[in-house]
Amino acid sequence: MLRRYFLVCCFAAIPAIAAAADDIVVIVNQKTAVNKMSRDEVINIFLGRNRQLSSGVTALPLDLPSTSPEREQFYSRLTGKSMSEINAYWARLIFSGRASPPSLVHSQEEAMQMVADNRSAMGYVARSKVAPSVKIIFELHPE
Amino acid sequence: MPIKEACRILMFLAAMFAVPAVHGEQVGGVEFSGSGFLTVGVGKMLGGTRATVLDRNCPCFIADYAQGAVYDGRNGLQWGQDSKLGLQGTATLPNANFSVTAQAVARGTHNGNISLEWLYGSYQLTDNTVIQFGRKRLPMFYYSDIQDVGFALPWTHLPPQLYGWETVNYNGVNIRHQTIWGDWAATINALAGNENVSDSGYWKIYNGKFSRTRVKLNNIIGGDLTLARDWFETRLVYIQSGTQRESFTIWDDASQNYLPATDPGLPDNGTHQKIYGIALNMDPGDWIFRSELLYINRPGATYKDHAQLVGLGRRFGEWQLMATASHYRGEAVVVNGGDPQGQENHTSRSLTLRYNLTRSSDIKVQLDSQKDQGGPNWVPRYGDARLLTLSYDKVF
Repeated sequence: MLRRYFLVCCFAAIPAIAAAADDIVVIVNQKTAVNKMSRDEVINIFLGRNRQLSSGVTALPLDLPSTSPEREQFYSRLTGKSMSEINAYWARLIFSGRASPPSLVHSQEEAMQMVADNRSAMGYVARSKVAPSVKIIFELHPE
Repeated sequence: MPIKEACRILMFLAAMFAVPAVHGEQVGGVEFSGSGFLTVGVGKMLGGTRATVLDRNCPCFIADYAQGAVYDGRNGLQWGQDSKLGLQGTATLPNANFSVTAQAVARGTHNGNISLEWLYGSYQLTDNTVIQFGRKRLPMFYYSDIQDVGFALPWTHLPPQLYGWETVNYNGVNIRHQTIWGDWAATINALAGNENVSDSGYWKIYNGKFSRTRVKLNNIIGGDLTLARDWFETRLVYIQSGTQRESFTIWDDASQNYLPATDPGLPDNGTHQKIYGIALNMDPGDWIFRSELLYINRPGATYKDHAQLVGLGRRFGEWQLMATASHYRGEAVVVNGGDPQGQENHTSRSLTLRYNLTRSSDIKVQLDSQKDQGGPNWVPRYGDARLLTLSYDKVF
């Protein structure tokens, strides 16, 4: 019984472990005139400090669902902050009308599709999910 | 059922059953979204100076000057002072780059009465520039905008030595622009407007719980600049305005009653108060550093205001421990009749432990120790106080 419970726990943990072990990459549309971004630039876009890419194009950042392990990994590796701290940060901006949070998508596949279809969209996904229709401009490796 | 009571119940139910996210719903081309915040706070006075100050039994700890929230010397737990519930709704016309936002707050310290704190329209001029008009928070302090949102604060209540003023909102217009300067993200905000406050909680602390006053800020002009890079953020603010205060009735110790005020208040003599502030905040790794200074000069007044805070904390996973010191000092302006021996002066030290229950809720426990260092002629002398507070905060 205990062995079965252990196996169930192991299988249940696989998605989280996979997300933790994989690179998280920031992606934009193939036609976007930006090939690389610095860590500060990515922070500025996803924390609502700036809404334009260096090329002058509007940036439309996308967030994965709050329960997504990739979202937690993305913010943890990018800012060193937990999701509680990121949510506290956004509470400050939302309730003061200073900025709007990134648009919410339901999955990495939806993020890929939106980026492939929209020159302004900018998302983050696990490297293993990246398709040729998008361009990687920043990488976050496992800590 | 009275409308006020119905609104209170609706707000409470909304807080209890709201989904923990900001959602948008499209109706006829208009996108509606809602969000909210809740703080349930409870405090216990542990000790301090026992005295009757105006019409209060002390020891007393002033948790929020602007709202007149005071923990006093009564026995037992005190629930109202830090408890509040806020709901915010936004209607957006995506194709017109225009939105309207309203935020209502019910406060325990006002017996749950609801006040409309924010009501403003936003027009997005460009990707990085927005113009807003209506009723907004006066951005005097770093945490002014979210002074009611407990989940976004590292304390159970803001350090009162710094966060205490007679007005917190204004009616007017502001324009905000975001840009990149080298490696820094800059946000520039300029504002103009007016404000008129009747029976400010701030003056109830100095003149009695049921005192009557009127404060007017005319021709408010100002702005703030925020520079951020990774974990470092600094904010500079300057605001000026014409200022006028009238006192109508105040507490009289001799008769133990409220009498018409003889205090002339602060006449509108055409001069401008000038408010200067700076905040330096850092969050490197698991460390948290908060600091803020404020200086207010009002020509014609008998004193100038100096206030500052400094806080250092560290995160341990979902736990956070923070120590904070804050200080207020009134500086007598002798040429205007100010008494150097009659100035307000107090310090507070606090220790706060926070635990994030979920990604959108926390529980905090805070120990405050306040020391009254006012001059020998200073009144009202609230004295020292030691306070223990516990709060549950949630955003949804």
